[in-house]
Amino acid sequence: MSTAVQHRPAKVGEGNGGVPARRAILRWALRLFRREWRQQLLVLALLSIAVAATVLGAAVATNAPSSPNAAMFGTADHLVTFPGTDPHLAADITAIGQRFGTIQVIENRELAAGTTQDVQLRAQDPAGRYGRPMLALVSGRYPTGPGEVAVTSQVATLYDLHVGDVWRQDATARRVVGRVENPNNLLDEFALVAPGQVGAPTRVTVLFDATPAEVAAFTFPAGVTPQTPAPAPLGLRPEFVVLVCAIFGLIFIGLVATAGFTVLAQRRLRSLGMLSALGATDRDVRLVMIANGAVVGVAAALVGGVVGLACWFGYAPRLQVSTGHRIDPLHLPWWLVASGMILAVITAVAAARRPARAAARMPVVAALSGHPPPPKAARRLAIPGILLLVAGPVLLALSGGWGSSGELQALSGLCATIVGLLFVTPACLSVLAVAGRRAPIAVRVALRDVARYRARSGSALAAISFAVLMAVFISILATARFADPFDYFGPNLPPNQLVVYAHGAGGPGQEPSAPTPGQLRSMGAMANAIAVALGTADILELDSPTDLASGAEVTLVQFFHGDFKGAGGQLYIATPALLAHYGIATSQVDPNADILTSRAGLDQLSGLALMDVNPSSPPPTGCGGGLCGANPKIQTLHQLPTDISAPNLLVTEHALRRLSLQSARTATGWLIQTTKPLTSTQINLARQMALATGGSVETRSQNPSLDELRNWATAGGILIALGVLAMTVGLIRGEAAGDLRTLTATGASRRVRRTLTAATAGGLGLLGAVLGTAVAYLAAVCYYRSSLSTTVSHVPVADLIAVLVGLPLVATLGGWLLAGREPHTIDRRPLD
Amino acid sequence: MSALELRRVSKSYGAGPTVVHALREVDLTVEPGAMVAVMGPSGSGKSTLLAIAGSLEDPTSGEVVIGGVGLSGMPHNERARLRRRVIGYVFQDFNLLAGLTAVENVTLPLELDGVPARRARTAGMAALDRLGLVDRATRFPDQLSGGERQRVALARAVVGDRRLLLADEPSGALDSVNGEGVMRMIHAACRQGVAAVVVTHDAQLASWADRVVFLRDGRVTDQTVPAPGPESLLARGPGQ
Repeated sequence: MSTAVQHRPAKVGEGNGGVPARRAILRWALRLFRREWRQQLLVLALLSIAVAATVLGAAVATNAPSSPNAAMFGTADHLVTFPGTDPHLAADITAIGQRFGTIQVIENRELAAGTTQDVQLRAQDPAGRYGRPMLALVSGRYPTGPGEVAVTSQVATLYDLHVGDVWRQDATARRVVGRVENPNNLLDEFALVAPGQVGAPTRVTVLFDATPAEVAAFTFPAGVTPQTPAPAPLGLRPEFVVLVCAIFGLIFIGLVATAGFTVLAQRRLRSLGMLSALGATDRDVRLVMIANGAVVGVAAALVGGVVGLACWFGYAPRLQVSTGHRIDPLHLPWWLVASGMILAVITAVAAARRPARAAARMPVVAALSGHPPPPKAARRLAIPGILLLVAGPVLLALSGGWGSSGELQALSGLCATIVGLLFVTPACLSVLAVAGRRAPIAVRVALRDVARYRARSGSALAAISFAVLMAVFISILATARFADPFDYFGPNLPPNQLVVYAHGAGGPGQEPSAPTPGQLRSMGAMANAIAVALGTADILELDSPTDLASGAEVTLVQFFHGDFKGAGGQLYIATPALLAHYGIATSQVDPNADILTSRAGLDQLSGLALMDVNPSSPPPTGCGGGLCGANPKIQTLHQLPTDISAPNLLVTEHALRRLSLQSARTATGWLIQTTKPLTSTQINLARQMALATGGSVETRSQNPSLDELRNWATAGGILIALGVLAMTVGLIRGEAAGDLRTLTATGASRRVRRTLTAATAGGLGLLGAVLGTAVAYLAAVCYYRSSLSTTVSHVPVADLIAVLVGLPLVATLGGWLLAGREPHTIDRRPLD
Repeated sequence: MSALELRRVSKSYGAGPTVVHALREVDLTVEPGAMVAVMGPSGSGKSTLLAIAGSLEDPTSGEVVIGGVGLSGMPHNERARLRRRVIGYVFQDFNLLAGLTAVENVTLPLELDGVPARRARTAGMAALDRLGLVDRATRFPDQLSGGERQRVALARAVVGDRRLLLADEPSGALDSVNGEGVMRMIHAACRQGVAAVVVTHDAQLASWADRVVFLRDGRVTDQTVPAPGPESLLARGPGQ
């Protein structure tokens, strides 16, 4: 009995079945994926996450950078700003128009708004030649004549205005006809009126196009300097950084995927053997696995793309708020999105190639028997890995550390270190086998299997170590950044505090102007009224040391080798009331101390000085004359707050006397604390009240705290490591299923089976955590070599415990709880 | 021309003191249309013989000739093509590909050989029809009974223009009724000119064969004599 086909195909190549054969193979691969996609879920999930992260990262990288040039210049390439008090204003503007042709004039008058942000009454032609990118209509219409105004959303909220309302400001009534915004600067708070309706402008901006030669040839009025847009930032474009990160991430995922596909190939070994027995060529067998990889890659690319876009569309409104400019969600670098998706497919195919080759090389009889090939020795990558682990840290050390110009060296060093770690990890697996030599039988078998099946466990260990390295490295970087006692960084205030600033103080970093005693009294009364309105009596007056002679605020500055390095933040006076507020007794204060601070390590810095210096025009050298207290004596008091806008840096009465600043004490703010976090209604109320006396308020900003950064990094690293472990342990135990059947048949209890899985997971987790942490610290120590005492010396103990103890512990417990099931078939492998 | 010829075939595994001689100088010839049963205890080399006869393994020494073509030195892809076109396998545990339907399993060797899908499907359906499985053509293996699976495997082994059928314990996973049915089908295929080599432990099933070869420790220890054909009568002289 046989069934013949009428015509045999013409001979195609070397026994190649051509398109029909490939189609049959692809059909089978697709069917297998549909049947077994759950076994590939982790690879699918990791690739999908990588694609989603690439899409989201690309979208954020493209849309997050603001366009300050467009916000200020519109489409013009020059602007000049005249003070409103210029007696020849009209003539000057006419002269510019005559010389440069088309110009656009924007008039501004500042309004008191009660916030740290300027609010302006602005006259701008919406159809102007240059200013269109600076103006957009949100609703309603633009004002067209006297008595009409359109406001930004913040001004509308501040004054409780709606379209159709009448707004009385500065004895003028205007009807609100629309909502507007500066799409390139949403923090630009203004009320738009028709051209010529500002009245007495305080500032007039003229936009125009001109060549540099034309500008150089023109004589501008005294004190007026033409400005040009800032040049485009140098360095790598953010999109390329995202692409590089995506490639690194996919390389990492590719390692895991290779392990996953290898075990998948072994699970399908008998089927692949059968395929060979039926006459499939090696190429056909390879195609089965590669097609499976391609299907996984395509599925992940589609899922990741959709998830990434969904996340982006959800996140874009929040990003818009935090970046302060309007974002078009569809403005995406589609080439990068497509690249991310294609790279995922390439990664999956590349990851499937090695297992595919191995399966195709298997003898048919061995494949039919379903016996996996004997474990192979790890590739001899340990020596190149060690070399890279030396070269990487050296490059990091040469980069100069944080804030230096050696970014390329730092990036190269980090890459070399990571690749070195990936190369070295498989060789480290033998450590586990050695460590388990005297352990109970189940642990010994488990650790020995990890070392034996290093084709799988090596990739997994590399992935775990990489995840831990990144988590620990981010923790160290964040800790070091937050630990800088001079360039102080972190959250500005707790959520239950606000600072009311006096008129002109404008908050930290802004140039103060001295209010009159009468203004101070009324502002103090208003601050108390705000505290009462917020339901608290916890209010603290903050005084700043100001040199009345120069009008400049006294600040703590640092010089490095004689050069001005920067100012150290807002300085307040350590009044008895302030000290008492934080529970500091006068006796605790060193009578010779000039500065009291909560910033750890500030007392160890050199080159510090107390000066009446304007940070925008720093002195060329250190203390050379005038008011200057070099090398102030600093006392650290941990009772003081650590938030950057809270009084964390105090000048003592002793220093005031030493610098003869006794008479320059100025109330610049009032710190109000409530029992619960402030609501937006309370914040708005405080702003409205501060506005009445010309003050402003500052509340908690969006700066992340150190704990938030570290916890997110640690949790992310641990989760990735656990995900990799979950898959790898399943794979290794799957490979060693024969041993498990034998153990079960010889009477091994469920406890032994649980121990096997738990020891496998725990061993890999511990080794990965140790390797990742060690290399992260090696890299960090080299990177920060010049400032170790203030950076790496601050050890994130809790995070390290979470990584070094928590990760292996959770892996062990997970392995214990999820394992222990008796194999379905003890005598042989299950059949098709 | 013999469908299969093994000439002094030996196969050893390992080396030195651990060497195992699976086959020792085995000679076997199977003519077209003949059905040969191979019997012997476990480890006697039956499956190795079948693997070597089917070009799945190379002998350590000796020669394998299939349809007049020697396998020694034959490139890998040529062997694959030989398996697609000439040799059909039936295994004890069916080895159907789980992701393919019954008819797709049957047509797989044809499609691997480049036969267009429609023509391959026609041939596959015809093969299933002869085995009474046409109504099961679109079922997946896990939707078929053991006997049906083995019949599908048999259809796959004979589809196309196969001239050599190699079956390794084809009824090993079946009950006696299904086992007999499978042997009957192999026998029917042989009646149409296919040469078959069947490895079995079951003497009753071996009785379907034209000839039974006994293996022990890799050697042919005995074999039944083929039944004399009509030509033997002509060979005898008058009065004999």
